[in-house]
Amino acid sequence: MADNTVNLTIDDKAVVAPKGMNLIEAAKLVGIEIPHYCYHPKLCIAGNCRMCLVDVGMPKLGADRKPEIGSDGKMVVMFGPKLVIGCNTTVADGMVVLTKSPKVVKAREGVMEFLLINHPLDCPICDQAGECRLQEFSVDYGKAESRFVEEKVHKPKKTALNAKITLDDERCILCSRCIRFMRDVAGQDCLGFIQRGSHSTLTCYLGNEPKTNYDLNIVDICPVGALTSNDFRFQQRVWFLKQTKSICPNCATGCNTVIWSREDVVYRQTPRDNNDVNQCWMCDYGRINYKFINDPHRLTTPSVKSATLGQRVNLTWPEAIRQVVDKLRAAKRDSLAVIGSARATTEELYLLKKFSPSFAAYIPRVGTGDNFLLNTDRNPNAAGAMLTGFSSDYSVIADGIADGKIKTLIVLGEDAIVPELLAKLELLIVLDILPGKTTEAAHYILPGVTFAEKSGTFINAKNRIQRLNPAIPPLVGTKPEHLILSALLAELGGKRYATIQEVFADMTRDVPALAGLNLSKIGDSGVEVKS
Amino acid sequence: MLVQRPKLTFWERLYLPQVLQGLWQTLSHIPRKKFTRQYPEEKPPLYGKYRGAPELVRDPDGRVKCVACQLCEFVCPPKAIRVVPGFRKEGASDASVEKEPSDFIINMNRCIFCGFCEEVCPEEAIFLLRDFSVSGYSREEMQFHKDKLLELGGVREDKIQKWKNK
Amino acid sequence: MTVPVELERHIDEIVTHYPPDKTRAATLWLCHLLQEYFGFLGDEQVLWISNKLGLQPINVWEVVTFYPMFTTKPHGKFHVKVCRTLSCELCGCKNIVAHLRKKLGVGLDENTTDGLFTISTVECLALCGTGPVMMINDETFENLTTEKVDAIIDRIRTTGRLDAQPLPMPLAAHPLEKRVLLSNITKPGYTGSLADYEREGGYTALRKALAMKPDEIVAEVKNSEIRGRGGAGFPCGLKWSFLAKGTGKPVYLVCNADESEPGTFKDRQLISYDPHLLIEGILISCHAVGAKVAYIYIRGEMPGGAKILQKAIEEARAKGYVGNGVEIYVHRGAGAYICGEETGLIESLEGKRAYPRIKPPFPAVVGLFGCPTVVNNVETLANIPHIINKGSTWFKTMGVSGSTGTRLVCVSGPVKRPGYYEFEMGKLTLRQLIFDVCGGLKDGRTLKGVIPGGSSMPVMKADQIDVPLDFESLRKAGTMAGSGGIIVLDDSVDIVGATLNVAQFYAHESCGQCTPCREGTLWMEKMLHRIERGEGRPLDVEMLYEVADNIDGKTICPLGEAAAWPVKAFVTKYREEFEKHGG
Repeated sequence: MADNTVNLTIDDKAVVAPKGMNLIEAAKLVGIEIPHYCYHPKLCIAGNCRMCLVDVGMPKLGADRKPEIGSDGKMVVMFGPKLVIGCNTTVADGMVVLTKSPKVVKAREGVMEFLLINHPLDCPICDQAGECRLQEFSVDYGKAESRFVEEKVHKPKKTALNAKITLDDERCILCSRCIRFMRDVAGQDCLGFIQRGSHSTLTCYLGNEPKTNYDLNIVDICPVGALTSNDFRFQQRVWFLKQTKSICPNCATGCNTVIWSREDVVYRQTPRDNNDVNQCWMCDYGRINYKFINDPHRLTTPSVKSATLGQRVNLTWPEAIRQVVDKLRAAKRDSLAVIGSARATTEELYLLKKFSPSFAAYIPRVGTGDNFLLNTDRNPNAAGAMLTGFSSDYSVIADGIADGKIKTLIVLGEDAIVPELLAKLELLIVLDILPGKTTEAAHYILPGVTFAEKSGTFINAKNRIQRLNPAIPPLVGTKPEHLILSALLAELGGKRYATIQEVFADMTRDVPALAGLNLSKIGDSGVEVKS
Repeated sequence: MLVQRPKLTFWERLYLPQVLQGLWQTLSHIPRKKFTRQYPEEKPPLYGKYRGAPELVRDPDGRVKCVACQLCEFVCPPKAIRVVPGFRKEGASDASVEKEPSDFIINMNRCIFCGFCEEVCPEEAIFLLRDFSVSGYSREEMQFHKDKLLELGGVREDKIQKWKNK
Repeated sequence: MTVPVELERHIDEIVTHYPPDKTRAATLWLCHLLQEYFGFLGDEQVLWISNKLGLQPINVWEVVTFYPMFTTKPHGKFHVKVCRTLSCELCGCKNIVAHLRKKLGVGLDENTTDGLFTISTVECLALCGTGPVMMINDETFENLTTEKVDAIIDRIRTTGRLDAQPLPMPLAAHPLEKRVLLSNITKPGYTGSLADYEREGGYTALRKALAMKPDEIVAEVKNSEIRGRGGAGFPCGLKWSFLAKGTGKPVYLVCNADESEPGTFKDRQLISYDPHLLIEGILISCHAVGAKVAYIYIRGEMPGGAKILQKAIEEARAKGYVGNGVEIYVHRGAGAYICGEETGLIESLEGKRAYPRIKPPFPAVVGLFGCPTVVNNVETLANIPHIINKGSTWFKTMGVSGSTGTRLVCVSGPVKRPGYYEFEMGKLTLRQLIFDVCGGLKDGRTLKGVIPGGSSMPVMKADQIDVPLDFESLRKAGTMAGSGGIIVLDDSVDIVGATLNVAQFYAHESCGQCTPCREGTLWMEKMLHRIERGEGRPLDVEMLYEVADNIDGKTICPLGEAAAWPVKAFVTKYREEFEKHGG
């Protein structure tokens, strides 16, 4: 037995668990589920739902302090007089845990019955349906029929906790996860229970509503539909939604997210577990900022500013590529500059740099950060931009345009240079997703895709390279930027990349910090790279 | 072995008797009882659990019973149903129900009249009623939207008022 | 709203009773004081308190709505609170309430139009032997009849004020009693003052203890085998020896004077008639466990007791007993039975909702303010001076093995002489107590059942009462000695009604933290309501038992067992009555 692990038995399975682990986590190690509501691995123990009751026994020690052996040859185990809660019981050497004994089964049925007797019949209208732990554990551990014939307790329904969250007190099972989160993690002690006994009600004091940038996490951790997000209210049932693992593109923390989509519409984002980046939380600012993906104003076709007609003319993709390549061939290399975006993926920036411009910069973005997840650097991939050779000082480019030294500019997803300067350019090629001042001034617009529609990587503020996955197909008419840039480069004599893996492979050769990696090695949790 | 051909009589060789026999067979049916149903003036009798087209119903207070839980959409084998959930009007008499479909589309070209949607509905809001002949001139016409489904469904006399005391 | 300077000065003094970084503990006191002054606790008061103590408004609001003694809307000038729990119901409290309502012309919890009166029903006021009882503001009125009630109300109406009610005379000893704790209270001219107490030999034990080493005192108490008198019966010396040592944190002693178990009213007598016995016991115990601060958590419904204790502490301070290395502070509760549970009490002392803690860790390791804490019942602590004075060997000569010493028992219900008595443990059976000491049943009634240890304990049928009154015998008989509150049920008692009364008590007092108790107690109450009005079904009896069984053993604190055992016992032993009710 190593110094920092213990050996115990759960349901006849031998488990080696680290010291100090509780039984719920220890059972998870061998694939056994101990149902629970109030326990959360990142919050302090409350022990009030009583769903994780298990039968725990220790071996009976004889006079020689060694386990006694019974008449059947097996160790004699002394079980406690009462069941104990798994979340508050630490593993101990020799412990014997039963999670499926008749006592435990009956206790779980009892607790499930108690939770359901005052619970409203809201499943058809409740957003939590399909991901509701009350539903799941009721099927797995509860009884099929109800025998409650009295009047249920009535509490306030559909109250606005704050502008983002709706609270339905009848659905609340009083697990107190939200209270513990707001007090201990978000840092605003604003939620509490009032009244007593069966009439206990969750509320916040009027005037002191949750006001942090992390309020919507309580919607995630609420095991039932008591706290629901107004953003997602009545939008779609979760069983229709496809889950795609991705990264939040709103700041340099790079919280791991899940994008929930159906067909080609994104309905919501939720955080994903990653103990090295965001534990299991995400800030509201990043969470809500996805509506632009399905914005009706998305650019959907390549176009050229026709000098003769004085207006924009739509082009097909082959035509657009051909025209842009012709123009680029004619342009002088030493007057070419590129503005990449630190919101673009590393692969896109790598390809952009291959245009060998005399100047390459990205636009820094700074905002107020907090001590938790929101970084002051609002670019998700500034590290990636720097690694691929982009400078953070774009004023050189602006001056260059003003002097006339820079005549050709390729802009990838940024809107930083003023229109007066842009008007001086001979050739302005813009890859972007939404119209802006730069696309107004562009000679050629090549519509790209949002973070939810492409594969790629971001490198966060702690030098962790993390992978994006596409949740929805590119909007009709748009193309992922790495395919656009790859097509242009191929026509200009460079290598033609068919897949993003090929781009990545070449990138690992040219960027020493990424040597030895590939997209599958990065996996779902990312990998730390040296700067 | 040699098969003997039957020797036909003179009249039989003329074939006239056979023709008259056939005519008699046909004419003898004229006075008899006919089983042809004169559809569409006469409709077929529909027995107890006959499954016609699925339709949405209202309750005796005029409330749309469907709450857009989307279970029918999920269980429909040919994926003929599409529900767009929405909000009930604030301050209306049924505001406590909170949710209703802002649109409910059944693609009658796909519907196989299996009745799974009626079976799974937790609110007793969709029923396969008596309409069996559903036709239209275009594919778009065959997409039945919420208004048409509610019109076809009518009011269902219901004693259970689940949302009354919310 | 402005808080007057004098009141604020008093509040500031109270805040110093608690560690400077734990001022939240003063929440209950501030709520009491502000409600006394303003008549209720509204938005302004809540914000004032949260500002004063550096808390969030929700922290104060949670507490105000948890404790029934606090109100968010003004009551009438005279708040009439009638006890509705089992012992008083057996004495006819329902008539008193109905009479009051008719007389004052209001419903429950409504104010009369002249703003003078509000009638409420409250849970057990620890005056069960003299029921029916009521409190008006801070004054208690016992042995009520409709005539007495009329007289009281009329007097208030005519004079416009509430007269202070004197303490009733202490009960004289019955020949079969052995009075040790109550030895002083019937001595002629005994007022409970320090001078009287010292005249009878008080505080010699303290002087003796201060000369002993702490370990010696613990060993003496351990040797006496005294078991806790609050209800659980855990050996006191053993509990003291569990205290975590060498943590570097201060040790606290808490005296549990939150006597709320229905049928129990013994601690009240000790506090009212001989407070210095308790003070001396606390001081000796503090020396034994190394505590520099002791809190007496007294229930909010005993304001008179709180005043008596405060006065006694000041007398002891003047003599140098208190304040010389050990501080004793009185902390008032606000109407929660769950505060009688030791970790619920600790949470309430810390100024929060009284949610019992999950154990482990135990209070002896992590208790009040995170420090090692010992929680003892009033009666247990009152025994300590006697043990030190006359020695543990003397103590063991009283009682029986496994239940040493004397015990205060309280008898309530339809007996000829209800009240409090002190006996050697195990030297008397229940039958002897009821028929010999208390004179048997009134009005020629016959015995139906006896609850031997407060309403939480399983009832004994009339043929099961030949059991001696000690911990082990009662445990073997399938019940427990509990808090010593003995409730007698005669043949006029409707068992279903009694079970309903008890179920209502637990549903009202459940703190609501854990699922089985929170949901189960209210469900049992609703089921019993339905059975009582005749809408019961045959399967309801089984269901009641099963629901109670699902609560038993699955909860954080023993209130689950306390709620489940009476229902299980009544349903099992008097099943026919339930079935007859249902039909």
